[in-house]
Amino acid sequence: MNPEHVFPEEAERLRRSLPRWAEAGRLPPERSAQLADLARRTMATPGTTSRSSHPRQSHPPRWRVTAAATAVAVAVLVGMASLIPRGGAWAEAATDWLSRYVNLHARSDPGWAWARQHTAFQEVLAADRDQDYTFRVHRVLADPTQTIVIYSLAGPEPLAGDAVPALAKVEFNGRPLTTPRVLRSGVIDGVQVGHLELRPLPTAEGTLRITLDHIGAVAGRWQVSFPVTRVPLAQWARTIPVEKTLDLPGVPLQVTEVRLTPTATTISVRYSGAGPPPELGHGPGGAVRLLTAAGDEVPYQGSSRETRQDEKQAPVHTWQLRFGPVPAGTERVTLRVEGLARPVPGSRLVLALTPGAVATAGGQPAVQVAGVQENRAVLQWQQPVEMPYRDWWVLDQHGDAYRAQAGWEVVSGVTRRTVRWNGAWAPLPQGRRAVRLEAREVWEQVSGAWEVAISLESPGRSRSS
Amino acid sequence: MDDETFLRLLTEHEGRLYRVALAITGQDADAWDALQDAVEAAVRHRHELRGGPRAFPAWMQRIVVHRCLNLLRSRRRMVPVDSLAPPEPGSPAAPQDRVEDRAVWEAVSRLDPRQREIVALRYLADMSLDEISSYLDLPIGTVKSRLYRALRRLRATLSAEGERGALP
Repeated sequence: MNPEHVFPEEAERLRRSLPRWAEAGRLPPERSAQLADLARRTMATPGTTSRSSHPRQSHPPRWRVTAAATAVAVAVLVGMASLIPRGGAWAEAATDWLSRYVNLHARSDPGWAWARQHTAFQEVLAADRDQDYTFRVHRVLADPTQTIVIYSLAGPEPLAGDAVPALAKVEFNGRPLTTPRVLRSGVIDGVQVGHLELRPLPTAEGTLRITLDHIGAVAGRWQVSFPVTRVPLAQWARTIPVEKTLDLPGVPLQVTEVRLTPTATTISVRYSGAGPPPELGHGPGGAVRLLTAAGDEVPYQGSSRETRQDEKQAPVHTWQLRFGPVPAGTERVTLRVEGLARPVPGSRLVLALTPGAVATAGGQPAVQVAGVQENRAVLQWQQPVEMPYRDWWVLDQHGDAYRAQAGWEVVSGVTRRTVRWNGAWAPLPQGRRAVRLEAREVWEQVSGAWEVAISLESPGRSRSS
Repeated sequence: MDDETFLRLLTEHEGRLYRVALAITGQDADAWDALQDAVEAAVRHRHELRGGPRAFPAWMQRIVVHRCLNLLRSRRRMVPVDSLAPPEPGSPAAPQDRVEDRAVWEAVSRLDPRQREIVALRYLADMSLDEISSYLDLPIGTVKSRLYRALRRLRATLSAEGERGALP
C-alpha cells in the first residue's frame, strides 16, 4: 500500500505547507549579495573553471577526520609496497582527496573500514582522456563478495547536474562482466569522484577493463585496463552451505549459501517454483533484514537475481542478498523478509479495447481504458498497488496475440493517486485489428514477516532447527 | 533573456531555492554549498533556459535539486559529525512564515535524515517515488518504507503539537 494512502492527511499537509514554507524563505542580505556577486563574476568570465576563478564563501569543514584516521589513511597509501608500485604525478596529487573519500565511507561502512585498516585497497594507475575529459581509476577493492573501483573525473568545465559516467562495458579477462553494477558519485575537494560497486570477480586474478561512452552529457570513449587480484582477501572469506527453507506463503525459497568476508555478507536464496519469482521486501514497510542473535541489524545493501535452467530446462532463480559484514564472533543470524509481491496463480486480466471499458482480476484494482488510438492505448487504475498487471499483450479479432510495450506513471490527485499505463504495439498484420488487451500476470501484495535462522558456527551444513 | 533579468529572477527566488536545498540536505552549510554550485551551473547554462522568466523557477529548482542529490550520493550512508543538530539559523523563524507552515517544517527537520530527504524530494521537488528511487539509487521498497515511517512520525509529532497549541 502506498504510504500516502495510509496517511493522506499528513501527505496533504506536507503538499500544502512545505512549498509555502519554501516560498517564504529569504536569504540574509550578506548571502544575497554574495550570490549575486558570484553570478556576475561567472557571467563575466565564460569558459573558465569557476572553482579556481571565483572563490566562494567557504564554511568550516563538515567532516571531522581524526588524527588517528588520518594516520591510518596515510599508512594505507604508503604501505602499498607489496602491490603495484606507485608513480605518476597525478597519483600523488590524488592522495589527499582519496584518503578523505575512503575515510568518509569507512565511517559508516564497516567493510570499507576493515579494508582501509588492512590496506586492502589496491592502488591502480589507469587513466584515459577523450573530449578533454579524463577518467582515472585510483583504487580497487576485490574480495569474494564484491569489487569496488574508485575513480575520478576531470575536465575543462564543471560537469553539469548529477554527471555520472555511463558504463558501456565492464570486462574481466576479456569476457563481459554481466553482473549488476552501481555507480556512486559526488564532489569532494572540488574533484568529481565516485566508485563502482561490482559483484565479485569470477576468478581470483585477472584484468578488469572498463569502457565509458558518456561522462555526464559529454559523449566519447574512455577505456582503462588494470590487473586485479582478490587473493589477499580470500583467506578471510568463509562459505557456509545451507539447506534451509524460507517459508513464504505460496512461495518456497531455499537459502543455499552464506558467504562471509570482513567487508560484506552474501546470502544466496533460490526459487524454483512455477511462474515468475516473487518480489521480496515489497509493500509499505517492506524490507529484507539480517539480524544477529544479539538483535543487531546488519545493513542491507541490495540484491541481484539471476535465472538459469536446471537439468530439466526448468528456470531456477537465485537471489544474492548483500549485507554489510557480520560482526566477528556471530554464531547465528536470522534472515527476515517483510512483505512481498507474488503472482496470483491462474489470474489474467482481459480488457476490451474500448474507451471506458473496465475490468478487474485477482482481487486487484479495476482497470479502465482511458483512451485508444491506433496501436496505442492508455489505461488507468487507482493505487495502492502500482503494477498489479504485467506481461501485456494485444489480441486481434481472431484471438491472435501480439506483445505490447508499456510505460507507466503515477499521477497525483488530492487524496488519491492514479496509475496511468501507456501501452503501444507494432502495427498488426493487414486485415487484423486490436480488440482486446490482456495482462497475463496479475500480482498481489502480501503483508507479513517471515524468517529463517542460519547457523554460522561451522563451515559444514547447518542443522535444521 | 538578458543577464539583468536573469540576475533579478535569481534574487527573487534565492530564498525559496535555499530552503529547498536546506530541506533536502538538512544542513545549512551543505544547502549553501549546493546553492552556490547551482548558481554557477545555472549561469553557465543560462542560454539553455527556454520559456522565458516563467520557466525560470522550475528550471532553477531542478539544478538545485541535482546539486543536492550529488551531495547526498557522495555521502550515502554517512552521518556528518554535526548532523543531529537542528538546521542552523540560516533559516530562522521569519515573520513572513505562517505558523502552520513553520510547525510542519520544524517537524520535518526533526525527522531522521534519510526520511527527511525523501519528504523533501517528494513534497518540495515534486518527484515521484520512482524518480526518488532512481536518483537515490534505492529500491522502491526502501523509499516507500522511509516515507511511511516519516509520515507516521509526522502524524504523531503534529498531533501532539496540535494538542499543545501552535508553536511559538
